[in-house]
Amino acid sequence: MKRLWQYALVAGLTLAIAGLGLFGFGEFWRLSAIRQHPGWLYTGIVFVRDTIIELDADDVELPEDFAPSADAETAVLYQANCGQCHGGPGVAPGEFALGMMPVPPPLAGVAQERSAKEIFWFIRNGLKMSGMPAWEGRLSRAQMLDLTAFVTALPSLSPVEYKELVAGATNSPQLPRDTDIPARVNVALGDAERGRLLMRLHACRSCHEIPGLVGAEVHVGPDLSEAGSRRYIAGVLRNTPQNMVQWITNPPAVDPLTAMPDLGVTPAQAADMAAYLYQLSPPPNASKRAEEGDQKRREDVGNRD
Amino acid sequence: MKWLIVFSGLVLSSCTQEAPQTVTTLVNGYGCGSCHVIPSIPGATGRTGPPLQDYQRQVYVAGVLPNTHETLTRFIMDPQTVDPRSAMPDLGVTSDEASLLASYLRAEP
Ligand code: HEC
Ligand code: HEC
Repeated sequence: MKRLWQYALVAGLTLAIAGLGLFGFGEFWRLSAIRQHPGWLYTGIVFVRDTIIELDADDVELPEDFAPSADAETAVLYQANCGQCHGGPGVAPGEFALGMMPVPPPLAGVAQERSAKEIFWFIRNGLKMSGMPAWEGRLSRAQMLDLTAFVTALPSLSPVEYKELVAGATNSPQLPRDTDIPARVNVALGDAERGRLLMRLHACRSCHEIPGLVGAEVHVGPDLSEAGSRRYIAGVLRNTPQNMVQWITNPPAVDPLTAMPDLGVTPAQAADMAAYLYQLSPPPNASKRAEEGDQKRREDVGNRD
Repeated sequence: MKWLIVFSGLVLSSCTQEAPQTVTTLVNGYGCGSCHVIPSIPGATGRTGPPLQDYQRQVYVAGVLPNTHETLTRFIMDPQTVDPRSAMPDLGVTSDEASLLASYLRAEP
């Protein structure tokens, strides 16, 4: 009998210490939506989430004739109910959604990686503690099926086609801001560390992979780890600090066909983001000395977080 | 046409690291590798354009059109018909060649 109590005590203590460890190292006490999860914890959460949803979604029944389809009526339904959080091809989510944690991902990318059953499952059930609402009881089954077909068709829509489809829908209101690009934003004065934070708060990581920011594997926009040293920005602008700021501030103004939406970044914020990108990979013709400086700063950042 | 089919078979069957000879010849002939990284092709290490790896997972071609065989072929043949602002030059690739390159890029491991 006494043995049993001893075992129970040891087991209990072990569990308590493991729990405390997870709480501590997983940074569970940091409740701010500005802080990201540590990378390993994020990977763990995603693994558990995806495994469970894969099993659960097995039971979803889709009609025999289910097929991806993008008609104007469903597009409007999508833009009204989903677009303010998830955005659409070439259309930004509402301002508030960019500050959510986790950030609602761009569904064109999701549709490439997930089955239709899983997408229907997400729409019907939502996802606890994530901000994804359950639509069961708010949308009819037919509407949820239409939306599933629409989401699975998103990767086959160009930004131009999508915008035409939803032309009738009212766009989510954007906060007013100063869109004029001042003649001189001093990119050299940008603060890379602030840029990294601002990129998280503008949900850049939901479409791009960016070293230093935690998130899912994603192929909607290009990987930005070497964007600073490419010769062209987005394949259309010569890579100069000034052009980088101009692109980030308002991409459709530079290239009306681009899938990257205007996210309401101010020029000063864009200068900080550019500083971070150039810190990740120096501009094509950076001098050797600048590179050394970059290397040192990169190490500093690495130590901080 | 016949050699296209034979080639598609080759691509599907040979999931090896090295690119088939026809593709390597085209890439070297047009100098794609001087502007792009293509991991399976030795010497393709350019940094002017984006790296062309894992291409079938990419959602958009050049950030503007859905990634399909048709759009990618069109882009390689004449980038400016896809996006007038594109910085990639029109290299005069024929439609058969472009189709071959597109198949390869979209099937590459
Ligand atoms: C209030 C904001 C909000 C609205 C409105 C919303 N979503 Fe979501 N959605 C989220 C968030 C947050 C997630 C979870 C992201 C995560 O787990 O990382 C999510 C996840 C999803 C996923 C799974 C994505 C993945 O990670 O694979 C799908 C599919 C989805 N939503 C579809 C929809 C559809 C369709 C609608 C419209 C009917 C919609 N959502 C409306 C916020 C929203
Ligand atoms: C002189 C440099 C140059 C050469 C040579 C060149 N490209 Fe490009 N390529 C670019 C640039 C710059 C871009 C980015 C353009 C854009 O995004 O609009 C690009 C973009 C692309 C893209 C789209 C990438 C994406 O992210 O979707 C593909 C595919 C591509 N090139 C294939 C090729 C192939 C195949 C060849 C050889 C036949 C080739 N390129 C030769 C400069 C070049």
